Amino acid sequence: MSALKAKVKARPVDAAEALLEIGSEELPATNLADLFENGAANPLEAAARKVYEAHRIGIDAIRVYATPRRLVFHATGVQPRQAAHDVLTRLLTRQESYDADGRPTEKLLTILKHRNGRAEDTLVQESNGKEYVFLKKAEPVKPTAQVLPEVFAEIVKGLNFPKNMYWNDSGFHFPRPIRSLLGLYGSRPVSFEAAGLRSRAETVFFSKSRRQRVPVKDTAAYFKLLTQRGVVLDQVERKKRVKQLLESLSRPLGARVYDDPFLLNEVTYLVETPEGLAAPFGREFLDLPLEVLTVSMARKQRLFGLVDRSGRVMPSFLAVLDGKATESQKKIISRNMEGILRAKLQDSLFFYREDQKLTLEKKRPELAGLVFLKNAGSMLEKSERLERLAGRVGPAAGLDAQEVRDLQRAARLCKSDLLTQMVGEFPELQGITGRYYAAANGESQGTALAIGEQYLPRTVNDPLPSTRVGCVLSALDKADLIAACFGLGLEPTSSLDPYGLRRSAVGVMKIAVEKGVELSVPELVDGCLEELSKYVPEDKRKAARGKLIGFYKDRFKAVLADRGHREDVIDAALAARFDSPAETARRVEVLSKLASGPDFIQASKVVERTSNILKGNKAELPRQIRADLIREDLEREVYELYSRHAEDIRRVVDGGDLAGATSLYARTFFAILEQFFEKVFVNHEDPAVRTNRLALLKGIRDLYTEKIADLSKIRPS
Amino acid sequence: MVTFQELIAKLSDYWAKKGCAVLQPYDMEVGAGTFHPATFFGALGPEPTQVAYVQPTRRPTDGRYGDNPLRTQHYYQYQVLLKPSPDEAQDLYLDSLRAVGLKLEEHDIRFVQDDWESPTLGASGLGWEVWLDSLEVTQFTYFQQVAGFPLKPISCEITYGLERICMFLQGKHDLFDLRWDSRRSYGDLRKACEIEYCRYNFETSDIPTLHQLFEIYEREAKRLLGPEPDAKSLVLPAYECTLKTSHIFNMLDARGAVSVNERPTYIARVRALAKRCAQAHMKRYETAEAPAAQEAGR
Repeated sequence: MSALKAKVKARPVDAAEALLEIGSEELPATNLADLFENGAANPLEAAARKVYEAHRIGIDAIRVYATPRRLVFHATGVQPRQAAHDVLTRLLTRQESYDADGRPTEKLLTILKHRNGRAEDTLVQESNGKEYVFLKKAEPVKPTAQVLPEVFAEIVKGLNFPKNMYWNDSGFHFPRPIRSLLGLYGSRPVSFEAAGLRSRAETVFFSKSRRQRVPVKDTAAYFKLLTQRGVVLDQVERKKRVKQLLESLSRPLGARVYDDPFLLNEVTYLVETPEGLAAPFGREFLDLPLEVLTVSMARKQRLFGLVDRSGRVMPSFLAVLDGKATESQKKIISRNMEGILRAKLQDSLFFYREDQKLTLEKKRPELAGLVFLKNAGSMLEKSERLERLAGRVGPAAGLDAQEVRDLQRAARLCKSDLLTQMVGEFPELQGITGRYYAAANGESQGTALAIGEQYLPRTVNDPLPSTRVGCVLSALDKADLIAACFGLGLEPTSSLDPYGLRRSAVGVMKIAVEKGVELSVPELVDGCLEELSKYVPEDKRKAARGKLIGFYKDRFKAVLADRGHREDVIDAALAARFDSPAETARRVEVLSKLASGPDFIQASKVVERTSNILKGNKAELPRQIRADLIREDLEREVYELYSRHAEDIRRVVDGGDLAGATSLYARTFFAILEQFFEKVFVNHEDPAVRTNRLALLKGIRDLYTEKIADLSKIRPS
Repeated sequence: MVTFQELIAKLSDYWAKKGCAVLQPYDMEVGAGTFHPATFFGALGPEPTQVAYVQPTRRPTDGRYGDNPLRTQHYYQYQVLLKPSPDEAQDLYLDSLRAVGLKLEEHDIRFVQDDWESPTLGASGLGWEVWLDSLEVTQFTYFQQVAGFPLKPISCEITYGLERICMFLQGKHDLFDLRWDSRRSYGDLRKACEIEYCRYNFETSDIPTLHQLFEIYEREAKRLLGPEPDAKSLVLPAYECTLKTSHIFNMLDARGAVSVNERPTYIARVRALAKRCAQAHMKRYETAEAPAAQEAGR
């Protein structure tokens, strides 16, 4: 025993752990979820690391943990003392400091004396293009234990949250009041002050809603204590635990938890000791739409809904509790929750019935009182614009007559649900509410579904509308917003996009690319701008047009790059033509597949070499190539190949066989042009001959670049 | 079993012991205990205040003709204002729940973030809805601003939903089933009233009259405050007129007589009045007399 003790003592303590716990009243769960669950690096971690760095205390790693009532900064591999550091103070210029013989001047010596420095401690360094003499002084190196109080206080003060409050007269602000501070350096308590509070070597637990202060002697004991009390400090672990709880509760019911990532995140930060229960509710509420049921449960009570294997809602819910509960306690809690759920759903049922007293068509005129966008009219006008656009864009997008009728009707009615009590209560149900009411009003299924999907995709991971009508409606809704913002000078800046226009434009491009919906970007832009003529004067519309097309083009590139296509291939395809993103995307798909094959490489060579020759030419080239100006045999051979095969190639391209066209193009021109460029001097002294040769080469190049892709943009891989 | 009237008595007893002046309800229609001058004016200015009171509360749009077990157009709040906010505010609150007889260990209690705001009063604060088994039973707020004035010191406002807390005490799932006393239920005393007011609020109130009343009270408030409110302005009567406009706006809203784009305008008109009342009140601190604050029951 004593030998063991001696061994432990003998181990050199060169690195230890430092722990800071901020105990607060319940922090906003959504704030924490935003910080910790957004997939990016945690800014709190970086902020704390910076403070350690600023105080020259080396650490291996820092982890930040958050529960509703604690923020914990745990640093490991903490160096026992500050890193050495020299401070340089600029004294004089070099000329002022030394005489011609290199001896220190009187001036320098005086200053050194004044500053308590020696000539040996000076050095010369350039600063702002001049040479200066600096005095080097080593900063004192303090032991970490002495510096940590400052480090901890600064971490607390430096934390940055989107919304803060005051609670006492310390002038300190934080998302919610801080009520305890704990600092530990290994087994030593760190005493510091922040937010008008002094740290204590204890942590706080809430058992049965009673605050309990428990002393903590070291970092290991801290973590052990939390585990013993059932507190799952690590949010990653806690989220996993919550998921497991939900799964273990839903499995015996033959059910699946209704997917709601937002709720899962929020609940993770609403509890520190997760516990769960399942309970039934009345079947009479199954009349309510699935979305209404689950949104009501989630938003009003943070309860999870359940669906069966076919996706139908089940009359049961799951709850995640905070703190251990016995079975009998759970029984009481679940009975209470069910009673409350009943009352809340009864209210939803009330809205559902009240709302349906007027059809969407009858409600619609009230949209005149709802502003769509300042200076771009009301929601009523927006729905009128959409209805007219639907009549133009729908047929062009290849919708059949019934689909066009559905689309126009959906466009007309799609905003009316903004006037319902249901959407007033649950704004996230806009669109979905309209879908149910439209179906109840006897609108066609196509119309109802399109209304329900008009806002898809809302986020990057959202699904796209499932029907063609829904796709076009969603694209029109977004295109109108984007055009209006650009017309009114509200386009996004590099850092700010308050109207979410980039996301919207990505949505439009995805609908075209992934759903293959034929939308012409110029026609869409022109149509939308024309509809806005009442609000956007002609010069502004003209200016917006080019910007809008460029904006869509950039989103298009991003969408395709995201699908794994090479940027140079995308650029090449775009350079040929960008009208319908669906069509351009199909070209990119094929080209990407061809890109490493010999035909593609040879075709690229043809385009590259012809383009290089044409680069120097500024003159207008004739379309017709004159046989009488041909001087060389090889030139004639190329000309004949071109005359013979140009039409074939065009035909294959128009038939949609890009692979065939590329192969034909490469086989026709590659070999012969290699010879041609070697033997024939294009820049003939006779301008007429030269122009004729250039025209021939341009004809060959354009055959590919105008219809398929400008392969001169391809970089050798 | 704790009856509804005993719940009120117990809360008053508890907060009186903690040093609060137990006030009476304000005798006008208000949408929340916050509108009581003891809170509105009490939160402004530098001097400490501790008050507790029941406040009958009217929210015409929340009426459900007595059919909903949780929502009514008229209900009772219990309001506590502590200024400056004590460090142990949360514990005081939890203890008060125990004091009225709730066994907290049998419930799931949660403080769910709520950034509270009263657009008509220009008041806002940060805090929580306190959830008992997923039902909001209390609004717990650290006031940050009233009528646009930043506050120092900060007040803590605790607003209990009395019916809801009583439902847990009595194991009832419908507020009309609550025992008011040993002989009468809440429904016996309140249900007929509730239905009558729902009919008035939703169906029979006269829209032109309401419009006129709004104008009249707004005009009177403005007259009392004058173009430039000062320490001599009759703040409290002007504030009462402001409360009237607020209630009448709620009545118009329930009647569906406020179109979507008129809404913000009405709210802004009420807020402008509230703001001027607060300005006049604050002027009094400059001249070292604060009758409004005294009225607030310090």
